[in-house]
Amino acid sequence: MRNVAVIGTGQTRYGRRRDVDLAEMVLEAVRSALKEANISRTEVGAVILGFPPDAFEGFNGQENWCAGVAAAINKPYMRINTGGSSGSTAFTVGYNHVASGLFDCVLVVCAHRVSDTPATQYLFNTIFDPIYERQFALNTISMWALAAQQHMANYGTTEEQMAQVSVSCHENALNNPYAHIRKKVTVDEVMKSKVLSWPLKLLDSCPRSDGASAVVLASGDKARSGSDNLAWICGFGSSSDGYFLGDREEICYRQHLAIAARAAYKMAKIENPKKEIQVAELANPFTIAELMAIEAVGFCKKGQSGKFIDEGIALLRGELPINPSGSTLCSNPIGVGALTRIVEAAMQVMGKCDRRQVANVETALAETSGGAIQFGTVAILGKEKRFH
Amino acid sequence: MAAQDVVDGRSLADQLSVSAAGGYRKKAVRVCNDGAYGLVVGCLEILSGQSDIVLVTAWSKCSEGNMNIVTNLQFDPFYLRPVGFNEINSLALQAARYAEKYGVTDYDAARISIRNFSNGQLNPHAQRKIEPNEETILKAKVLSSPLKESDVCTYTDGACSILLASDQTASKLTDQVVRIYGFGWSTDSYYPGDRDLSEIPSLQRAASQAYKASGLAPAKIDVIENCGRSNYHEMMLLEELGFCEKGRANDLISKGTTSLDGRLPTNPSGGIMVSNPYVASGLVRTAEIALQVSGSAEERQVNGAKIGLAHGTSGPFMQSNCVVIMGA
Repeated sequence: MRNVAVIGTGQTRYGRRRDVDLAEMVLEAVRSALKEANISRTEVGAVILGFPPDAFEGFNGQENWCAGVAAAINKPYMRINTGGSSGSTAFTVGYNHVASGLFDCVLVVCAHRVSDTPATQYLFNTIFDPIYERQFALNTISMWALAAQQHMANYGTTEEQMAQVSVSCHENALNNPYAHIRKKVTVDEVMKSKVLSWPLKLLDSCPRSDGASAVVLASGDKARSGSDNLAWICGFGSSSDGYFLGDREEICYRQHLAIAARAAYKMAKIENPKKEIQVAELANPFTIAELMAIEAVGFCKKGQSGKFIDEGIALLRGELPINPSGSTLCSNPIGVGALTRIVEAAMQVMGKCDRRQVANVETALAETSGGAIQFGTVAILGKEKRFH
Repeated sequence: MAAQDVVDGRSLADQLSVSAAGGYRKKAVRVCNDGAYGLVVGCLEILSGQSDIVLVTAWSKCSEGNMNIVTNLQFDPFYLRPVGFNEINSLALQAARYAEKYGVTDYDAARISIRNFSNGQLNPHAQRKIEPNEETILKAKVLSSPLKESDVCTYTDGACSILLASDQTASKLTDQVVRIYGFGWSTDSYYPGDRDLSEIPSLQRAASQAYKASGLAPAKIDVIENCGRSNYHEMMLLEELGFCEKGRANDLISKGTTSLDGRLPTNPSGGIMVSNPYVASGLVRTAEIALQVSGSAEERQVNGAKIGLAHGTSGPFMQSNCVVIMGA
């Protein structure tokens, strides 16, 4: 199997971006990724775009509009969309472009102007089936709240444990210059914040952010060992679940993500993820999402994630730091987050995270969720090549 | 998978269909371009060694909404959308430019419609049936000059699936293997003002990538299935694919070269004029070529077809194009 590496990453500042439109944000991320990779637009063999559902921006096929800024004109170019996991799915398609031997260097880019959407949660209601589920006022807040309620009922997880996730993420985001929300919060403040959909409160929830991120993937000459900008792709797994929430064995346990994680570990030859991985970026649009991801990727047993948080394992200076960037909870450009998790994991491997850097990272994990907690992906990046 | 949200009227078009497409608890990827891109993604998954067997599915449910509004939303909100562009009138601009540049008439264009609708009569999957004679075709309602109802693609509900497997696995599974010799895909500028609308350079690039990968020249192709959105677009297409010089496609067609019994039968299925499940159309073209080169195309079979070329397109003004070359 051909070894493929991330040789450059780019991110915009996340938040309300009145100064730029969607295309300009794409350009911003693409430019900084190409600059870091030290290559020109002409050296990019193909471009893969991960964009969120069309309804968000009321545009049928923004990939067509963004072809120029994505450096894609006259090149093989395609757009991937699996909702929140668009970025990591585009990443795996980009990996296949290079691993197949057809290309030596490709660009993967994601962008989303969430502020173009007047009512995000009303729109999220329309991802649910018009006949069976849409009438129940389901949206991403109530959907994750259902999962949180079930987690509390089945495993005794507490609101305070969820609040602790919020506290650590907000603290970590203070060290991330790209983060949207950069504010310290306490458990007490989280507990007293407005209830959106019980048990999820305002400070258990992500903001609406604009932003873009990009990675350059390469093999062969362009990915030279010893370079400062190199994170090898060691493993990837992806899986999907049924559409209807009622069909899941447990809404609060992501079976599909566990399958994706196993596939990624198998490819990366990882036997004990908790020991062999030094840092993880997990998607957490709501605090409960992080708890569920910790279990599904195998860092602890099913139902034990509350205890995992209590023990401080996930803290920046803990045994297995989770979300040193502050993750989705502190910046949520919805269709971009999946790629941003990979960007942050790659930066940790490259040792480029400044104040949010975790010491001695050999292997990092990036996880995401898409659809109605329906799609899950796991990417493993590392300092060493895995395939010979 | 390949599907578009706005066409299906669902905010995330693959959520409902992923399980039906066999993706339950499996790796699932959705492209928003044409179905032929789905085939490319499937091929890359196998070539990279990630999977051995891949199912590619593309669909569109065009009857969910008004396709003029759906395609108006393809244009940017600042410059093009307020002008009222939609697929039909944008195609008409291209057709008018081509017709003016090379002196192509309604009568010339009608030959392609007659061929497509007459081939469509042999295709059990055909949706639209128009009497394939000059009089009916020329008298059809004008939608946006020079394009008449009989000159352009229709909109259809439908889906298509193709099963791909690696070389070794394929020969274990079946005796009737269709081989993918090469594929290519490319994109043009978005704004029509940045292009000469009588040309589709991305198609030329996609085709040369596919010819190079397959080691074949245009002369080796026995049959074509294309997604020319109108008959004028088919003329541009034949030129970009290298079957004749710029502006000479009309000669090729008037000589009957593209007829079912000609040297280069084009759209033996009737193409997207007779049924166009929009995003799925490019995948349908590859499926039709697979049937042709394996000799399973029944009444619409082209005699002795060994190597075929399929084409898919997406984006306004046929901005993105994909070419797949296959053989038995």
